[in-house]
Amino acid sequence: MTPTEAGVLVSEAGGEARTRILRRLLRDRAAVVGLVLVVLVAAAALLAPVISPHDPNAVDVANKFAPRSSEHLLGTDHLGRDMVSRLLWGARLSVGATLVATVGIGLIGLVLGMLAGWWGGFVDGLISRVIELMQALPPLLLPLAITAVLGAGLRNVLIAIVVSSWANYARIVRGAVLAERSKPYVEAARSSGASTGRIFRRHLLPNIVGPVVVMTTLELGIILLAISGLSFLGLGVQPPAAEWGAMLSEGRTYLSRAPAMMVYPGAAIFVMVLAFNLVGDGLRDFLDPRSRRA
Amino acid sequence: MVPTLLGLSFIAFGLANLAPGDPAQQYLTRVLNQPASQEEIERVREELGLDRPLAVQYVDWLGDALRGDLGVSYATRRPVTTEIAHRVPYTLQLAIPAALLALVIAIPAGVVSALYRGRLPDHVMRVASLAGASLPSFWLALLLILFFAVHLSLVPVAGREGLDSYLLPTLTLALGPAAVLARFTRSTMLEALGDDYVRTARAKGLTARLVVARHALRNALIPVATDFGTRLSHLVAGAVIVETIFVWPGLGKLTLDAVTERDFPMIQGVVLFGGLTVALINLVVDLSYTLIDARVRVGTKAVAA
Amino acid sequence: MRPAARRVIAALVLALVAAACGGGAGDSDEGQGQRAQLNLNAELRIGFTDDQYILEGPDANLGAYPANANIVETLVYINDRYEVVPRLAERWEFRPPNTWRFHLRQGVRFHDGQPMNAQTIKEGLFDRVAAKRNGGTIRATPQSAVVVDEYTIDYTASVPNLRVVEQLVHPQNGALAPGSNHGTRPVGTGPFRFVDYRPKERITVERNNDYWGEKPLVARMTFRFYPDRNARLLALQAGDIDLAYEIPRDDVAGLESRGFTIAKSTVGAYRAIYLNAHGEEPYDILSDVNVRKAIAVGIDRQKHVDGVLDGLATTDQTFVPPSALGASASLIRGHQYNLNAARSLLDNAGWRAGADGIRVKDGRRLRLTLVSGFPSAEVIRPTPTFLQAELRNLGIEVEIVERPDSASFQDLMGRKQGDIFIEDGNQNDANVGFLPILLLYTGPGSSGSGVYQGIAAPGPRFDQLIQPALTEPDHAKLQEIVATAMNEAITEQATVLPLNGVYRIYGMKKSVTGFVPHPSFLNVSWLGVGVTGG
Repeated sequence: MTPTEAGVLVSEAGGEARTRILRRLLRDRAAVVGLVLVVLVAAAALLAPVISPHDPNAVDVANKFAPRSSEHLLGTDHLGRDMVSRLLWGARLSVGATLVATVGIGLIGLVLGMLAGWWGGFVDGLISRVIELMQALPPLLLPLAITAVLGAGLRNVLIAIVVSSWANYARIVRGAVLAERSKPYVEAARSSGASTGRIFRRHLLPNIVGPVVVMTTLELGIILLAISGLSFLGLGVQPPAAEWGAMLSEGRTYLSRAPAMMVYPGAAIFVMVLAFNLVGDGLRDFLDPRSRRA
Repeated sequence: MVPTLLGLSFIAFGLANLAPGDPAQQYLTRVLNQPASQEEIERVREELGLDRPLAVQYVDWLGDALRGDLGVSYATRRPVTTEIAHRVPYTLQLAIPAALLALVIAIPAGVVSALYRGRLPDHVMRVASLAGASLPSFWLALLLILFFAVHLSLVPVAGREGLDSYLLPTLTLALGPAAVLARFTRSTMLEALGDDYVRTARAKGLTARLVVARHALRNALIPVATDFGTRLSHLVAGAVIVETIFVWPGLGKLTLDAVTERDFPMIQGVVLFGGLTVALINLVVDLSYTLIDARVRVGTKAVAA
Repeated sequence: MRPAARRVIAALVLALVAAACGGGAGDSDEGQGQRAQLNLNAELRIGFTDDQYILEGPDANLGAYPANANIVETLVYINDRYEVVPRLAERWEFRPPNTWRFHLRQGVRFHDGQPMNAQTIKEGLFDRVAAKRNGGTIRATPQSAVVVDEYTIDYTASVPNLRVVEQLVHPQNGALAPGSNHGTRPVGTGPFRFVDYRPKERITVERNNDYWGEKPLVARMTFRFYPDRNARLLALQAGDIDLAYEIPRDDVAGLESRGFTIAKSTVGAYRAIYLNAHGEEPYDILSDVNVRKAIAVGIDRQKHVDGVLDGLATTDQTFVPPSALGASASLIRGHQYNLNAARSLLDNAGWRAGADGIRVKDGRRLRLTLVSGFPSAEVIRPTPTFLQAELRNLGIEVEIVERPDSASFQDLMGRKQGDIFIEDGNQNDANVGFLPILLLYTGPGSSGSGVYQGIAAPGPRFDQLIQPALTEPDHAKLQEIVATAMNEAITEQATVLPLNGVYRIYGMKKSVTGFVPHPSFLNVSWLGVGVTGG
């Protein structure tokens, strides 16, 4: 989403946006499919310990590269571990990590964006400068560099991603706040003596929820790709953890011998990101049905 | 732009100093390849000026950087600037064709999609671009390798040898940005067309429609150009994943190697360079924006008259 | 169909198509049978691992190490039985107390026309090595080499060194033409001349038509660097290269079924774990020899070789290649897999099974850190994960820490921050005692960096047993000394636990003939390798 789009969206959204959203959401089949997929994967992730047919770390080298069977619905990997179980637990890890990162980015971005948009002046100048700075860096570069400093591992990768990605978020929030702030009803509230906190809660927040939610949903896909990407490069999750990006990396080693090892985790990531994007797109369309942007 | 660059240099410098380990000891054992006795470490520390306050070190480093001296790589023991300069052309050899390919795919697709909104071409394009934007590049690369290089043996698997080795990496690099650009082109095109277009379509028939379309296109392309600039700069600053999978000796792979080997002078250099590239390309895009803008204004006036 | 559903189905079809196309036979390369006709104008394209050439300073080694393009030659050479044989030196003798006299081959010229004789060997070999730190492994100084006559040269190391001849086998000690630069344009006496080098990409050499020995059978060789072994393997399958080093074991069956040839060397390397017997908290659990022995008998090496390595390794526990130890190899008893014995050892050491299966003693969990990274973590996979599962059976929890390269691996080892260190090591010179002394010996005359000793030194008895190896001139006796000492280290002290013996596996097209893999991959000779067909 670009500033242009977000700005337009913000000006369209109103308080009744939420109800409109829900109703129309259910009418857009694509978004519904996306939502169903997200719910399914989330359920799989939550229920993995219960529904997983095997221990994802159960090594059985005698049974490696086993073909699909009733015992192993998607076969086994190079160490004889069950693919289905690893995919399920991978959902847990991947989705869980994505959520944690998104919450982190969301919180920092929201707070800083609101501060910048509301207070303006020096605070805004400073925050905007930092945002500009962060955006001047190519996408994977800063996470990579931070991982070099902190070392590999999921926790460090999450820190790196949060530190690198809050800027985009903050910028959108700031834009939304700026647009709302100049509206007459806000002026009215201020002149009638309402406290800043009250204005935030009753007027600003409800109206920026729309674009923020859309942004978050779309960010989820980007963050999942970033986490899987860094794990693929060997910097994130450490063995033997089952994470889709790491599984893809292992699959790459056996590309010619057992392509399935590479295909399934990759498909899982693809489907998940697709689902997030479908939902996000659907949400975005409702906030500005006029031009029905893709 | 200057404050941005300064801030960038700050980040780059800060990274190395946040890292664990003693830079003097690292330099001694990794660059000079000598054993590290305490006295030698102290001596090197003094020599390199690492015992001075950080602020002074930063200014010094910045001064050196402006003159093109970014220090010596821990891994290869050669100047960082030389290594980067050596690798940049290889990355450009992928980035520029990929960016052009993305444009060639995205703009017509986006335009057609906007013109035929709601009908089959639009739906096809929207599916394709959604899929394209959701595809993990590392998965796409491996799938392409599996099909075209391993099963069909049409192109080499990896490495930079022969013209056909450019095909898969360029394709992989281009598809993601192409999908995003296509979507974006569609939306700016629709915006530019606006309601006028719908009305004209019903009333005046094909030729008038095309004229309106052409004008709309010029307006639509401006924001697209800006976005394209961003895409291009991201591609140049190193498609780490693609270069790793295809073992392409470019900047992205250099970055990853530096990270895994904890080669801090190199990481500093790459961060600085990456940021610089983005800033430069954005500058160029902004300048060309004003050019296109001027012409569009003139053009519209001419038509109106 | 509704647009929404269409979108999703299209996307999912992509995924399904991808899944369906898994497996299946690829093209077989060079489908035609071998034709006996050698193509003497052929270019041999070789896929090597990564480019580790040093291009500057006294350690510069372009073209020599680790990718040996046969540009420079050493005075002596080791065959695949680790026996020292003549090369640029025809014969040699030891002159007490510490001098070796070499009689050089006559009529040999460097690629630039200079004659190879005592003077040029002094300048281009011994003096060059003297400029390295400590004078290199042979401990040379500028005064060490003395020209006796045109083809006779004396060498006296700066310290008593009876192993000079074995050490001179190493490609780092090659004869460079005086005045040439080993980092940019090496000039040697070898069967191939340097043509071109593109860092991290490739190095090209061409046939030396004036070579003193039998002429090479190919006109050119290009070594391409593929640090990523998948890329290397895939390059071979796709026909980008004719021969590939270090084929991953898992891919051997697949390659053979596709019509490629696999060549295996004898054992020249090992995969072993070093146990930190001298660590401090929290890495002090393995200072108890019983816990170490429990680990030693609690790992099923056969399963590792059969399951993880596809049977493409040996279960040798000798650490030094058995062929190098000769008859004395049997002196190293090693450990027999016995899960119950392992468990009782741990029980008796006070480690009792806890609620989740992990053993506990005095409130402390039996948790070990396994560090992997020599030569790189990638090469060693998936053995660490396998070990993790094996040790879990014993009630030991293992955390795996991977390091991308040897420098960072040895850094951790040097700081003793780990319990188990796993590596793939090589035996590259004929000196049987080289590795044990370098890595494990702590007595007088020790020349190692102390990093390995710091964690895995087997102790005073080992030092006592191996010390005579420093001064033993008789090869058979040397073998016996080393084997006895290694038995102490492996069987009695269990600080070094070899998991398997490693042999080199090379893959190549059927058209490549005459390639004899050398157990020490640094000493590959490309003479006799030819390419058939048009």
